[in-house]
Amino acid sequence: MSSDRSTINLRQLAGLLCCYVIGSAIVFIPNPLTAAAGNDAWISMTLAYGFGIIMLTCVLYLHNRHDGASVIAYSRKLIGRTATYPVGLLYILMLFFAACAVNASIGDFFTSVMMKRTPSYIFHTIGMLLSALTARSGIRVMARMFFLLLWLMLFFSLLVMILAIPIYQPAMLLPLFENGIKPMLHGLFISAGFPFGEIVIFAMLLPFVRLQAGQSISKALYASYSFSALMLIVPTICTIMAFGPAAGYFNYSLYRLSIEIHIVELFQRMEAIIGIALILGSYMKATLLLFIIYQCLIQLFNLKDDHVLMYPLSVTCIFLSATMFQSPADFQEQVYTIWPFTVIVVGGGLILLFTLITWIKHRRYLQAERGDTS
Amino acid sequence: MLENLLVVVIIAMALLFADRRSFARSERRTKVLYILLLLPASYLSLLFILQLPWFNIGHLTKAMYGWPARQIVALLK
Repeated sequence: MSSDRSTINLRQLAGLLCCYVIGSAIVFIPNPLTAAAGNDAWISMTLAYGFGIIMLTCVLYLHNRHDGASVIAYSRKLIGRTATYPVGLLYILMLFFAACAVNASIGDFFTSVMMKRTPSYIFHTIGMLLSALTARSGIRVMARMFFLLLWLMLFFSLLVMILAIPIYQPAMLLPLFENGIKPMLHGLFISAGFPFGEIVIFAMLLPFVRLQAGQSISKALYASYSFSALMLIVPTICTIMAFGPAAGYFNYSLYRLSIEIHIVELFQRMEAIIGIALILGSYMKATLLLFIIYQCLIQLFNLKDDHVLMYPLSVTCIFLSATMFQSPADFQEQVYTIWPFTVIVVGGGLILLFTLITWIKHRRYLQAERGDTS
Repeated sequence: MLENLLVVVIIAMALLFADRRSFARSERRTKVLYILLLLPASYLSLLFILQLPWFNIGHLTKAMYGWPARQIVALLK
C-alpha cells in the first residue's frame, strides 16, 4: 500500500467518491424511491444525504484520529485482533452482497429492456471480468480512468435530463406529504442505505490518499459527497416532474425519461445514451467494491498485496450474481429492504461504535495528559 | 444445463490459465485463501449449472437481517 503505484491524490479520491456514490444509483434509485415516497422522494433523499454526512464525519474523524489507517487496522486497535475477524468477515459478506447486486443489476437491465434474448450470465461474466481486470491494475489506474468515465456518465445523464425539459410538469411535484410522513420515512430508509450510507464501505479507500501540504481531505470529500447527492436528487425530481405518480412504476427511470425525448426528427431514441451511463456507473461501482473486498481480505489475513486473489474473488462474484436473486421480486426485497437495513445497522453501527470508542479513548488520553502536567 | 456447464468450464479454464504462475509464486497463506475462495465458487457454480435454488449469500442475509428489515418497512408502510 505504500508503493507509489498504489497511492492516489486527493482530487482522484474525491472523483472515486463521486463514482462510488452516483455509480449505479443514478439510474436505479429514482424508481424504488418514488414508489415508496411518491412526491416526497427528493425530501427523503435530502434527509438521507444528512445521514450520509453524519457517517462521513465519523469516517473522517476515525481516519484523522488513527493517522490514516484502514478500517481493519483501527478495528484491531479498538476491539482487538480476535474480535476483528468476525467484524471483518461481516464486512466482507456485506461487500460481496453489494458487488453482486450491482453486477446482477447490469444483467437485469440489459435482459429486461435492451437485449431480451441474451442470457444474463453473459453480462454478469463480462461485467465482473472487466471489473477484475481493472481492480487488478491498482487504485491509481482505476482513479485515472474513472475520472474520465465519471464525466462521460454525468454528461450523458445531464444531457438526457436537459433534453427532457419540454416534458417536465413542475406541478407534479405537489402535493407533498399527501399520505402523511410515513412514505417519506420509507424513502429515507431506502436511500439512507443505498447509496448514502454506503460511505461506510468507502472508508477502506481513504488510506490510499497521499495529501500534499495544505490539503484538507475533509473539505474535498464533503464537497464531492454533496455534489454526488445533488446529482442523485436532480434526476429524482426530473422523473417526478416527467411521470408524476407513475414514476414509481417505471424501472430505470432515467432510461424511461430518455425514451420520451422527441425533439423534431433530430433527438430521438436517446435510450442508448443513458444505457452507456448506467453501464459506466455500475462498472465503476462494482470495480470499487471488488477492490475493497480484496483489500479487506488481504488486510484481515495479513497477506502480501500481489493481486493473486482478485480472479477467484471475481469468479465467486460472477456465480453469486447469477444465483443470488431468484426473481425480480426477490431482487427488490433484498436490495431495497434488507440491504438498507444492513448498511444502516451493521455498517453504520460499526462505524458509530468505532467512533465512540475512539472518542472515549482520546478523552481519557487527554485527561491523563492534563493530570500529568498538573 | 449444458450451456451453463460450458460457461463454468470456460471460466474455470480462464482462471487456471490466468493464475497458474502467480499462484505458484504466491505465499502459503495466499494459496490457502485462494483455495478457500474457490470452495464457495465451486458450490455456486454447481447451483448455476443445475439451476438449484439452494442456500447462498442471499439466504444468509435474509436469515440474518430479513426479519428486522421487514418489520421496519412494515412500520413505515
